Amino acid sequence: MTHPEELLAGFVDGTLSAKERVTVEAHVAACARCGGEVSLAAASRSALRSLPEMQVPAGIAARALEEAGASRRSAGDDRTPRWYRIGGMVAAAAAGLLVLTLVLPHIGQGDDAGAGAARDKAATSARDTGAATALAAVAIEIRHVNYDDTSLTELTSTYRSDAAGGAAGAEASPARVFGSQKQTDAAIACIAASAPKEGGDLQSLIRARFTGTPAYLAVFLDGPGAGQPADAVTVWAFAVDDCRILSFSSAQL
Amino acid sequence: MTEPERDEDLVATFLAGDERAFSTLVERHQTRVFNVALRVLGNPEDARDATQDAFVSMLRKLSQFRGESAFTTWLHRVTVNACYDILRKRRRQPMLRLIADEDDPVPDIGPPVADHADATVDAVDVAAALRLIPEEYRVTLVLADVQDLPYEEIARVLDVPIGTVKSRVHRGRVALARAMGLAGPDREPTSTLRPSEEES
Repeated sequence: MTHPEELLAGFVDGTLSAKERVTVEAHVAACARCGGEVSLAAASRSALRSLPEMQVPAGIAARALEEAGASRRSAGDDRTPRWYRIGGMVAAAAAGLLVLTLVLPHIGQGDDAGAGAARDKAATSARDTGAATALAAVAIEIRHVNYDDTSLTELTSTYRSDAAGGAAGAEASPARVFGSQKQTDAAIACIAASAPKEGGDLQSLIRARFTGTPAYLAVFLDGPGAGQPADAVTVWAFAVDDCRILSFSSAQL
Repeated sequence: MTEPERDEDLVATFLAGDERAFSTLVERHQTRVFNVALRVLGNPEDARDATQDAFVSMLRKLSQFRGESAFTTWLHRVTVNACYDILRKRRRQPMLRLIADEDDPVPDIGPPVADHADATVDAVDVAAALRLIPEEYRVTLVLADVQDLPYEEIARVLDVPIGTVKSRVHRGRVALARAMGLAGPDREPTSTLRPSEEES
Protein backbone atom coordinates (compact mmCIF):
# COMPACT_ATOMS: atom_id res chain seq x y z
CA MET A 1 0.00 0.00 0.00
CA THR A 2 1.30 3.46 -0.87
CA HIS A 3 0.90 5.94 1.98
CA PRO A 4 0.12 9.57 1.03
CA GLU A 5 2.70 10.94 3.41
CA GLU A 6 3.02 14.37 1.84
CA LEU A 7 -0.71 14.88 2.23
CA LEU A 8 -0.96 13.82 5.88
CA ALA A 9 0.43 17.10 7.27
CA GLY A 10 -2.10 19.10 5.29
CA PHE A 11 -4.84 16.66 6.29
CA VAL A 12 -4.09 17.35 9.96
CA ASP A 13 -3.92 21.12 9.30
CA GLY A 14 -7.13 21.14 7.27
CA THR A 15 -5.40 22.79 4.34
CA LEU A 16 -6.00 20.12 1.68
CA SER A 17 -8.25 20.66 -1.28
CA ALA A 18 -11.59 18.85 -1.17
CA LYS A 19 -10.36 16.26 -3.62
CA GLU A 20 -7.17 15.59 -1.67
CA ARG A 21 -9.11 15.36 1.58
CA VAL A 22 -11.46 12.72 0.19
CA THR A 23 -8.47 10.71 -1.03
CA VAL A 24 -6.74 10.85 2.36
CA GLU A 25 -9.94 10.10 4.29
CA ALA A 26 -10.44 6.97 2.24
CA HIS A 27 -6.86 5.89 2.80
CA VAL A 28 -6.86 6.59 6.53
CA ALA A 29 -10.07 4.64 6.99
CA ALA A 30 -8.38 1.58 5.51
CA CYS A 31 -4.82 2.04 6.83
CA ALA A 32 -4.23 1.55 10.54
CA ARG A 33 -0.71 2.91 10.35
CA CYS A 34 -1.71 6.21 8.75
CA GLY A 35 -4.80 6.46 10.98
CA GLY A 36 -2.62 6.15 14.07
CA GLU A 37 -0.10 8.65 12.77
CA VAL A 38 -2.79 11.19 11.99
CA SER A 39 -4.01 10.98 15.59
CA LEU A 40 -0.50 11.43 16.94
CA ALA A 41 0.24 14.30 14.56
CA ALA A 42 -2.95 16.09 15.55
CA ALA A 43 -2.02 15.79 19.22
CA SER A 44 1.46 17.20 18.56
CA ARG A 45 0.13 20.07 16.49
CA SER A 46 -2.30 20.99 19.23
CA ALA A 47 0.44 20.82 21.89
CA LEU A 48 2.84 22.96 19.86
CA ARG A 49 0.21 25.58 19.15
CA SER A 50 -0.49 25.85 22.87
CA LEU A 51 3.11 26.67 23.74
CA PRO A 52 3.22 30.12 25.34
CA GLU A 53 5.12 32.93 23.70
CA MET A 54 8.00 33.75 26.02
CA GLN A 55 9.02 37.20 27.05
CA VAL A 56 12.20 38.49 25.47
CA PRO A 57 15.04 39.16 27.94
CA ALA A 58 15.89 42.83 28.27
CA GLY A 59 18.63 44.16 26.05
CA ILE A 60 18.78 41.06 23.91
CA ALA A 61 19.65 43.01 20.77
CA ALA A 62 21.97 45.48 22.49
CA ARG A 63 25.04 44.27 20.60
CA ALA A 64 23.39 44.72 17.20
CA LEU A 65 21.85 48.05 18.17
CA GLU A 66 25.21 49.34 19.34
CA GLU A 67 26.85 48.14 16.17
CA ALA A 68 24.08 49.76 14.12
CA GLY A 69 24.70 53.05 15.89
CA ALA A 70 28.43 52.78 15.38
CA SER A 71 28.07 52.01 11.71
CA ARG A 72 25.90 55.06 11.17
CA ARG A 73 28.09 57.55 13.00
CA SER A 74 30.14 59.88 10.94
CA ALA A 75 33.64 58.79 10.08
CA GLY A 76 35.16 61.73 11.95
CA ASP A 77 33.27 61.03 15.12
CA ASP A 78 35.35 60.11 18.14
CA ARG A 79 34.42 56.58 19.16
CA THR A 80 35.94 56.94 22.59
CA PRO A 81 33.21 56.64 25.17
CA ARG A 82 32.44 59.82 27.00
CA TRP A 83 33.14 58.23 30.36
CA TYR A 84 36.60 57.37 29.14
CA ARG A 85 37.39 60.89 28.04
CA ILE A 86 36.07 63.21 30.68
CA GLY A 87 38.21 65.13 33.10
CA GLY A 88 41.30 64.93 30.94
CA MET A 89 41.76 61.36 32.01
CA VAL A 90 42.50 59.75 28.69
CA ALA A 91 46.21 60.31 28.99
CA ALA A 92 46.25 58.96 32.49
CA ALA A 93 44.27 55.89 31.49
CA ALA A 94 46.53 55.28 28.54
CA ALA A 95 49.44 55.35 30.93
CA GLY A 96 47.84 52.56 32.86
CA LEU A 97 46.66 54.62 35.75
CA LEU A 98 43.08 53.52 35.35
CA VAL A 99 41.65 56.68 36.65
CA LEU A 100 37.99 57.29 36.31
CA THR A 101 35.75 60.06 37.38
CA LEU A 102 33.22 60.46 40.10
CA VAL A 103 33.48 60.18 43.79
CA LEU A 104 31.96 56.97 44.98
CA PRO A 105 30.69 57.32 48.48
CA HIS A 106 30.87 53.59 49.01
CA ILE A 107 34.06 52.73 47.19
CA GLY A 108 36.16 53.00 50.33
CA GLN A 109 34.12 50.65 52.40
CA GLY A 110 35.95 47.47 53.11
CA ASP A 111 38.15 47.72 50.07
CA ASP A 112 41.49 46.02 49.93
CA ALA A 113 44.98 47.25 49.33
CA GLY A 114 44.59 47.07 45.56
CA ALA A 115 41.67 49.40 45.58
CA GLY A 116 43.45 51.71 47.98
CA ALA A 117 46.48 51.85 45.73
CA ALA A 118 44.32 52.60 42.74
CA ARG A 119 42.61 55.37 44.65
CA ASP A 120 45.98 56.84 45.56
CA LYS A 121 46.94 56.82 41.92
CA ALA A 122 43.71 58.56 41.11
CA ALA A 123 44.39 61.27 43.63
CA THR A 124 47.90 61.72 42.27
CA SER A 125 46.57 61.88 38.78
CA ALA A 126 43.95 64.38 39.80
CA ARG A 127 46.65 66.67 41.10
CA ASP A 128 48.81 66.06 38.04
CA THR A 129 46.08 66.78 35.56
CA GLY A 130 44.53 69.56 37.50
CA ALA A 131 41.11 68.09 37.04
CA ALA A 132 38.61 70.15 38.92
CA THR A 133 36.51 67.21 39.86
CA ALA A 134 37.46 65.21 42.88
CA LEU A 135 38.47 61.81 41.63
CA ALA A 136 38.40 58.29 42.85
CA ALA A 137 39.51 55.14 41.11
CA VAL A 138 37.03 52.42 40.31
CA ALA A 139 38.57 49.18 41.43
CA ILE A 140 36.81 46.07 40.26
CA GLU A 141 34.75 44.29 42.86
CA ILE A 142 34.60 40.50 42.79
CA ARG A 143 31.20 39.04 43.46
CA HIS A 144 30.41 35.35 43.38
CA VAL A 145 26.95 36.08 42.10
CA ASN A 146 25.27 34.79 38.98
CA TYR A 147 23.05 37.60 37.77
CA ASP A 148 20.19 37.35 35.32
CA ASP A 149 17.91 40.04 33.93
CA THR A 150 15.80 40.11 37.05
CA SER A 151 18.70 40.45 39.45
CA LEU A 152 20.40 42.92 37.11
CA THR A 153 17.31 45.10 37.36
CA GLU A 154 17.42 44.77 41.12
CA LEU A 155 21.09 45.73 41.11
CA THR A 156 20.26 48.79 39.02
CA SER A 157 17.62 49.79 41.53
CA THR A 158 20.19 49.52 44.29
CA TYR A 159 22.48 51.94 42.52
CA ARG A 160 19.56 54.21 41.82
CA SER A 161 18.92 54.36 45.55
CA ASP A 162 22.59 55.05 46.18
CA ALA A 163 22.77 57.85 43.67
CA ALA A 164 19.55 59.44 44.77
CA GLY A 165 20.32 59.16 48.46
CA GLY A 166 24.00 59.93 48.25
CA ALA A 167 24.77 57.02 50.51
CA ALA A 168 26.05 53.54 50.15
CA GLY A 169 22.58 52.07 50.67
CA ALA A 170 22.06 48.41 49.98
CA GLU A 171 25.43 48.08 48.31
CA ALA A 172 27.26 48.63 51.57
CA SER A 173 28.76 45.42 52.83
CA PRO A 174 31.67 44.70 55.12
CA ALA A 175 32.60 41.64 53.05
CA ARG A 176 33.28 43.29 49.71
CA VAL A 177 36.30 41.94 47.86
CA PHE A 178 38.16 43.87 45.20
CA GLY A 179 40.25 42.51 42.38
CA SER A 180 43.80 43.30 41.44
CA GLN A 181 44.98 46.17 39.34
CA LYS A 182 45.49 43.73 36.48
CA GLN A 183 41.89 42.55 36.70
CA THR A 184 40.69 46.13 36.79
CA ASP A 185 42.86 46.91 33.76
CA ALA A 186 41.35 44.05 31.81
CA ALA A 187 37.81 45.11 32.66
CA ILE A 188 38.45 48.73 31.71
CA ALA A 189 39.92 47.69 28.37
CA CYS A 190 36.94 45.43 27.71
CA ILE A 191 34.39 48.07 28.58
CA ALA A 192 36.24 50.74 26.61
CA ALA A 193 35.95 48.49 23.58
CA SER A 194 32.27 47.69 23.94
CA ALA A 195 30.52 50.29 26.08
CA PRO A 196 28.13 52.58 24.30
CA LYS A 197 29.74 55.86 23.47
CA GLU A 198 27.19 57.86 25.40
CA GLY A 199 27.16 55.44 28.28
CA GLY A 200 27.66 58.11 30.91
CA ASP A 201 30.13 58.20 33.78
CA LEU A 202 31.46 54.96 35.17
CA GLN A 203 30.51 54.57 38.77
CA SER A 204 31.35 51.03 39.64
CA LEU A 205 32.81 47.83 38.21
CA ILE A 206 31.95 44.30 39.21
CA ARG A 207 33.32 40.91 38.14
CA ALA A 208 30.58 38.30 38.43
CA ARG A 209 28.57 36.09 36.11
CA PHE A 210 25.57 36.77 33.97
CA THR A 211 23.37 33.72 33.32
CA GLY A 212 26.43 31.57 33.85
CA THR A 213 28.81 33.54 31.63
CA PRO A 214 31.77 35.25 33.33
CA ALA A 215 30.91 38.92 33.08
CA TYR A 216 31.93 42.46 33.89
CA LEU A 217 29.12 44.61 35.19
CA ALA A 218 29.67 48.31 34.61
CA VAL A 219 27.50 50.84 36.39
CA PHE A 220 27.11 54.17 34.63
CA LEU A 221 25.45 57.37 35.70
CA ASP A 222 24.26 59.59 32.92
CA GLY A 223 22.69 62.99 32.73
CA PRO A 224 21.90 65.82 30.36
CA GLY A 225 25.45 67.20 30.63
CA ALA A 226 26.38 70.86 31.03
CA GLY A 227 26.98 70.39 34.71
CA GLN A 228 23.51 69.02 35.33
CA PRO A 229 23.24 66.14 37.78
CA ALA A 230 22.87 62.58 36.56
CA ASP A 231 19.31 61.49 35.95
CA ALA A 232 19.73 57.84 34.99
CA VAL A 233 21.70 54.80 36.02
CA THR A 234 22.50 51.94 33.67
CA VAL A 235 24.18 48.65 34.45
CA TRP A 236 25.77 46.90 31.47
CA ALA A 237 26.91 43.28 31.48
CA PHE A 238 29.86 42.42 29.23
CA ALA A 239 31.23 38.94 28.57
CA VAL A 240 34.72 38.54 29.98
CA ASP A 241 35.87 36.37 27.09
CA ASP A 242 35.06 38.66 24.17
CA CYS A 243 33.63 41.83 25.71
CA ARG A 244 30.30 41.42 23.95
CA ILE A 245 27.30 43.04 25.56
CA LEU A 246 25.26 40.41 27.36
CA SER A 247 22.51 42.62 28.71
CA PHE A 248 21.77 45.91 30.39
CA SER A 249 19.29 47.46 32.73
CA SER A 250 18.48 51.13 33.10
CA ALA A 251 16.50 53.22 35.58
CA GLN A 252 15.69 56.89 35.99
CA LEU A 253 16.93 58.52 39.16
CA MET B 1 -4.77 56.08 11.91
CA THR B 2 -1.29 55.77 10.39
CA GLU B 3 -0.34 52.45 8.85
CA PRO B 4 2.80 50.95 10.38
CA GLU B 5 5.75 51.11 8.05
CA ARG B 6 6.43 47.95 6.08
CA ASP B 7 9.53 46.00 7.06
CA GLU B 8 10.95 46.40 3.59
CA ASP B 9 10.53 50.19 3.82
CA LEU B 10 12.28 50.22 7.19
CA VAL B 11 15.18 48.32 5.66
CA ALA B 12 15.47 50.95 2.95
CA THR B 13 15.25 53.74 5.53
CA PHE B 14 18.02 52.17 7.58
CA LEU B 15 20.23 51.67 4.56
CA ALA B 16 19.68 55.33 3.75
CA GLY B 17 21.24 56.23 7.11
CA ASP B 18 18.48 56.26 9.73
CA GLU B 19 19.52 53.86 12.50
CA ARG B 20 16.15 54.24 14.23
CA ALA B 21 14.66 52.11 11.48
CA PHE B 22 16.90 49.26 12.58
CA SER B 23 15.71 49.67 16.17
CA THR B 24 12.12 49.52 14.94
CA LEU B 25 12.82 46.30 13.05
CA VAL B 26 14.44 44.81 16.15
CA GLU B 27 11.55 45.80 18.40
CA ARG B 28 9.04 44.44 15.93
CA HIS B 29 10.71 41.05 15.48
CA GLN B 30 12.71 40.29 18.62
CA THR B 31 9.94 38.26 20.25
CA ARG B 32 9.56 36.12 17.13
CA VAL B 33 13.32 35.60 16.78
CA PHE B 34 13.82 34.76 20.45
CA ASN B 35 10.91 32.31 20.54
CA VAL B 36 12.06 30.49 17.41
CA ALA B 37 15.53 30.17 18.95
CA LEU B 38 14.14 29.13 22.32
CA ARG B 39 12.05 26.31 20.88
CA VAL B 40 14.75 25.12 18.48
CA LEU B 41 17.60 25.25 21.01
CA GLY B 42 15.65 24.33 24.12
CA ASN B 43 17.16 26.69 26.66
CA PRO B 44 17.01 30.44 27.28
CA GLU B 45 20.76 30.92 27.41
CA ASP B 46 21.41 29.50 23.96
CA ALA B 47 18.31 31.28 22.68
CA ARG B 48 19.68 34.57 23.95
CA ASP B 49 23.00 33.94 22.17
CA ALA B 50 21.28 32.92 18.95
CA THR B 51 19.03 35.98 19.05
CA GLN B 52 21.99 38.29 19.54
CA ASP B 53 23.85 36.56 16.72
CA ALA B 54 20.79 36.72 14.48
CA PHE B 55 20.38 40.46 14.91
CA VAL B 56 24.08 41.13 14.38
CA SER B 57 23.93 38.95 11.28
CA MET B 58 20.79 40.75 10.15
CA LEU B 59 22.52 44.09 10.56
CA ARG B 60 25.56 43.02 8.59
CA LYS B 61 23.56 41.41 5.81
CA LEU B 62 20.80 43.97 5.43
CA SER B 63 22.56 45.54 2.49
CA GLN B 64 22.24 42.17 0.72
CA PHE B 65 18.48 42.02 1.30
CA ARG B 66 17.01 42.41 -2.17
CA GLY B 67 13.36 42.12 -1.31
CA GLU B 68 13.03 38.99 -3.43
CA SER B 69 11.35 37.32 -0.48
CA ALA B 70 9.43 38.86 2.40
CA PHE B 71 11.58 40.36 5.12
CA THR B 72 10.16 37.92 7.67
CA THR B 73 11.14 34.98 5.44
CA TRP B 74 14.66 36.37 5.20
CA LEU B 75 14.82 37.01 8.95
CA HIS B 76 13.60 33.49 9.72
CA ARG B 77 16.41 32.17 7.55
CA VAL B 78 18.95 34.29 9.43
CA THR B 79 17.50 33.09 12.74
CA VAL B 80 17.52 29.42 11.77
CA ASN B 81 21.12 29.75 10.60
CA ALA B 82 22.08 31.32 13.94
CA CYS B 83 20.43 28.38 15.69
CA TYR B 84 22.25 25.86 13.51
CA ASP B 85 25.56 27.59 14.31
CA ILE B 86 24.88 27.15 18.02
CA LEU B 87 23.84 23.53 17.52
CA ARG B 88 27.08 22.90 15.62
CA LYS B 89 29.13 24.47 18.42
CA ARG B 90 27.23 22.36 20.91
CA ARG B 91 28.10 19.20 18.99
CA ARG B 92 31.76 20.16 18.77
CA GLN B 93 32.03 20.95 22.46
CA PRO B 94 29.70 18.53 24.19
CA MET B 95 31.59 18.63 27.48
CA LEU B 96 32.16 22.34 27.73
CA ARG B 97 28.98 22.99 29.61
CA LEU B 98 29.95 20.52 32.28
CA ILE B 99 33.33 22.01 33.06
CA ALA B 100 33.35 24.55 35.83
CA ASP B 101 35.45 27.67 35.64
CA GLU B 102 37.91 26.84 38.40
CA ASP B 103 39.26 30.36 38.64
CA ASP B 104 35.93 31.88 39.38
CA PRO B 105 33.50 29.35 40.72
CA VAL B 106 29.93 30.45 40.95
CA PRO B 107 27.75 27.62 42.10
CA ASP B 108 24.38 28.05 40.50
CA ILE B 109 22.89 29.18 37.25
CA GLY B 110 20.26 31.87 37.51
CA PRO B 111 16.61 31.14 36.98
CA PRO B 112 15.57 30.49 33.38
CA VAL B 113 13.06 32.69 31.67
CA ALA B 114 9.85 31.59 33.30
CA ASP B 115 6.93 30.12 31.49
CA HIS B 116 3.75 32.12 31.71
CA ALA B 117 1.92 31.33 34.89
CA ASP B 118 -0.85 29.49 33.09
CA ALA B 119 1.45 27.48 30.84
CA THR B 120 2.05 24.82 33.48
CA VAL B 121 3.35 21.33 33.01
CA ASP B 122 2.10 20.63 29.51
CA ALA B 123 4.21 23.34 27.92
CA VAL B 124 7.26 22.11 29.79
CA ASP B 125 6.61 18.56 28.57
CA VAL B 126 6.21 19.68 24.97
CA ALA B 127 9.33 21.85 25.12
CA ALA B 128 11.32 18.98 26.64
CA ALA B 129 10.02 16.52 24.05
CA LEU B 130 10.97 18.91 21.24
CA ARG B 131 14.60 18.57 22.28
CA LEU B 132 14.41 14.81 21.75
CA ILE B 133 13.50 14.84 18.07
CA PRO B 134 15.96 15.33 15.19
CA GLU B 135 17.00 18.93 14.49
CA GLU B 136 15.53 19.09 11.00
CA TYR B 137 12.14 17.98 12.25
CA ARG B 138 12.34 20.35 15.22
CA VAL B 139 13.18 23.40 13.11
CA THR B 140 10.42 22.62 10.64
CA LEU B 141 7.84 22.04 13.37
CA VAL B 142 8.75 25.27 15.16
CA LEU B 143 8.24 27.21 11.94
CA ALA B 144 5.03 25.37 11.05
CA ASP B 145 3.22 24.85 14.34
CA VAL B 146 4.73 27.45 16.69
CA GLN B 147 5.24 30.30 14.23
CA ASP B 148 2.38 29.20 11.97
CA LEU B 149 4.24 29.79 8.72
CA PRO B 150 2.75 28.37 5.50
CA TYR B 151 4.61 25.42 4.00
CA GLU B 152 5.64 27.47 0.97
CA GLU B 153 7.34 30.02 3.20
CA ILE B 154 9.06 27.32 5.27
CA ALA B 155 10.39 25.84 2.03
CA ARG B 156 11.88 29.25 1.16
CA VAL B 157 13.31 29.71 4.66
CA LEU B 158 14.98 26.30 4.66
CA ASP B 159 15.69 26.23 0.93
CA VAL B 160 14.19 22.76 0.49
CA PRO B 161 11.36 21.50 -1.72
CA ILE B 162 7.86 21.93 -0.34
CA GLY B 163 7.33 18.17 -0.41
CA THR B 164 10.26 17.82 1.99
CA VAL B 165 8.67 20.38 4.31
CA LYS B 166 5.35 18.51 4.34
CA SER B 167 7.11 15.24 4.99
CA ARG B 168 9.20 16.71 7.81
CA VAL B 169 6.15 18.28 9.40
CA HIS B 170 4.27 15.01 9.44
CA ARG B 171 7.17 12.88 10.60
CA GLY B 172 8.19 15.52 13.12
CA ARG B 173 4.71 15.61 14.61
CA VAL B 174 4.61 11.85 14.94
CA ALA B 175 8.09 11.80 16.46
CA LEU B 176 7.13 14.53 18.91
CA ALA B 177 4.00 12.70 19.99
CA ARG B 178 6.07 9.61 20.70
CA ALA B 179 8.66 11.67 22.55
CA MET B 180 5.79 12.96 24.71
CA GLY B 181 4.83 9.37 25.43
CA LEU B 182 1.61 9.41 23.43
CA ALA B 183 2.40 6.40 21.23
CA GLY B 184 1.76 2.81 22.20
CA PRO B 185 4.77 0.60 22.98
CA ASP B 186 4.11 -1.65 20.00
CA ARG B 187 5.08 0.99 17.44
CA GLU B 188 8.54 1.74 16.26
CA PRO B 189 9.33 5.35 17.17
CA THR B 190 9.45 7.55 14.09
CA SER B 191 12.08 9.66 15.85
CA THR B 192 14.63 6.95 15.17
CA LEU B 193 14.29 7.66 11.46
CA ARG B 194 16.96 9.90 10.10
CA PRO B 195 15.55 13.01 8.42
CA SER B 196 17.58 12.21 5.31
CA GLU B 197 15.43 9.13 4.77
CA GLU B 198 12.36 11.25 4.12
CA GLU B 199 13.41 12.39 0.67
CA SER B 200 14.01 8.85 -0.59
